[in-house]
Amino acid sequence: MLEIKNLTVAVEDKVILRDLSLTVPAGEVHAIMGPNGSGKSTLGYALAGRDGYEVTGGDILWNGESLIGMEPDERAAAGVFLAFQYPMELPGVATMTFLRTALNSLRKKRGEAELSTPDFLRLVREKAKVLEVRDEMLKRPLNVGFSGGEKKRMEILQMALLEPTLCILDETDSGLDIDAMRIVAGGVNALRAAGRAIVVITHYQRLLDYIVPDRVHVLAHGRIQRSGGKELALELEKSGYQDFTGKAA
Amino acid sequence: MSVALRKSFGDERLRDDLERLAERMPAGRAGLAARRDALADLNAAGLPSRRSEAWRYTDLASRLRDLPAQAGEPGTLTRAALDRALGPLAAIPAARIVFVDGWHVAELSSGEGLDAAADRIRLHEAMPTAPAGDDDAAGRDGATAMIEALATDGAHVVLGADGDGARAVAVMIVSVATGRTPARSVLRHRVEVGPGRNAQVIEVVLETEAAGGLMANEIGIDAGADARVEHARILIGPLPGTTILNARCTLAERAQLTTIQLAAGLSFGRSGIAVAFAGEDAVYEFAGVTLGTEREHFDTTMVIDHRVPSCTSRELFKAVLDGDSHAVFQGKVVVRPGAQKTDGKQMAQALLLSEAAEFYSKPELEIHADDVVCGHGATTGEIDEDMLFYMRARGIPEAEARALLIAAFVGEAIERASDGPLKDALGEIVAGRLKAVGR
Repeated sequence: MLEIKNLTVAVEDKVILRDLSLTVPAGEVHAIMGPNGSGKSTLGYALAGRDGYEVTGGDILWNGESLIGMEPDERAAAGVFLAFQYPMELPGVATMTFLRTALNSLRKKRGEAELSTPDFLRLVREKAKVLEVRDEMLKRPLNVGFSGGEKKRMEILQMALLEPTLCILDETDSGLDIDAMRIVAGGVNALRAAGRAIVVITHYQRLLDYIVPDRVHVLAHGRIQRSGGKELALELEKSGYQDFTGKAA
Repeated sequence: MSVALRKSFGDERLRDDLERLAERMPAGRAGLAARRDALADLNAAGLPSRRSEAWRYTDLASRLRDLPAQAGEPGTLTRAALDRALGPLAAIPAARIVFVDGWHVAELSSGEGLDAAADRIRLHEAMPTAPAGDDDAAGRDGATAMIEALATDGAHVVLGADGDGARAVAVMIVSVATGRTPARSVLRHRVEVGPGRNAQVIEVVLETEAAGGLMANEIGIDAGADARVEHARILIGPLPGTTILNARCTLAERAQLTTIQLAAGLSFGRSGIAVAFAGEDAVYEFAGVTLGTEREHFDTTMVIDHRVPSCTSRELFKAVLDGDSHAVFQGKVVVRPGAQKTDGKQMAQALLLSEAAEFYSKPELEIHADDVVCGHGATTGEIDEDMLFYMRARGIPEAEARALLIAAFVGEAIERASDGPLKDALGEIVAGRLKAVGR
């Protein structure tokens, strides 16, 4: 279970999230929706432990363990995975080398043996096939020359491969056409499991037609303003965020 | 100060050295007059200092206030010890010509892979004059005169012509210093690659005892028409002394010559490379990597002389600098009148891992023809924090993520080597070095 308690986060001394509280039980998918500038991406980065996102108050607990003070790679080992809104291109870093290094780093931290080359290749091919990630993409440096949709599929491929228990998807739908969205959503839905919590951060409702959330939260002015069932997303689609944007913090 | 310096180099000791070693030096006593002339040139010019543009960042005169003594005999070095020092390079199948403390050692050398009918290796003979000639754009300076005066040995390798490039050959020239006290090792080599021949020329400089003397080598490489030559210049530290390497390369028509340079662990070093195009449609490519830590200093200064039309030159230089280390890349491209359709491009990039590390990059284009394409670029930066976070968010520990990013940066240059044992060995050396540099 993810428990965010009275979280306050500042970036360059500017408070972005204030006193934010949110609980996502394992086995559930929760959507975080909100207008631009509401702090959605900041929440994702704060969960993943990015430098410069300073937690000045509150706590983040994952399965009872505080993530505050843990390095990004330690959080990854604890099961945290952030699918980036803008995945990085890594020129000169072969995709397969990257995937293998990440997977083996996590296995090592979890006390598991490294995968053999044939086992690793088999695993990647199997996951790649579902996400329609072609062999040719796997042969390139990571994300270099990939289209927006290809980068997002590569993010989900990494998620499927690393099998995190807390998945945070930051605007994964941005830049996706309908076909790509269906593929990506299929990949995410395949990861729905009893021990896994999934947080879907999105501006638009349309992704939630494919990844149906258990709960929807509206984030504005740095805190959760309203929570509801999946119907809340449809309501927001009609009314927009104006009810929330006008409100002073 | 310069007067005193000149005086110190003209002292009786150097003259005595020449007399004492004359019998064993290239050309023997017959070469003594030429050496005395070179010594006079050295005394007249002095060692190059920062007043010379080509040595602006590497003040050899200040560094070398006195010349270390010349060992009269090679130090003891077993083949096993040599192979250990060579590390991954030991696995490259190649004819080996090994010089220890300035003297050729036959027991450590081999003619593996040479064509007995067409290829020759000569030793202890007078090195032919520098192939670039008097109007050489790179000029002749005190360092060149010093090497000409004091070279104790050298290899003259002649690789025969080949119809279809099928008879590939690899020659490794190794200079090792073993001295427990600082000593000097000065060598002059020349490699002539016959028309159409496919050859690898691998220069290796290393110390087994890290005593810190002077190692100065000059190599002349002539690539014949249609020859394909891969020249590797590999300096494996710790080299705590002063390391001065010169290369003078000429390319005949349609020749292709690539220099892959890897320098790591040099306290004070400079690689001077002069390239002259003598025939049309030739291609020269340089890919260099300098890895620096602590107070190391390494300078790569090139002069590419486009004397004839339709030749192509490419330089890619990469430096990864930590601690207080300095790297220099000076790339001068001269396009002579009439050298139309010249295509020259240059890129120098540095990754600075510390606040105190410094990279000096100076491109210089001197173009006297109107139908040419020449360009240059340079970048200096730190490791990208966004990339680092992305990798760490996937579970890769910081040190490993940094090492991967540095390897990717350097890899672009190593990639220019042709696939095979040389490239594999370079990759292995870089990976080993980055474990230290990447923290």
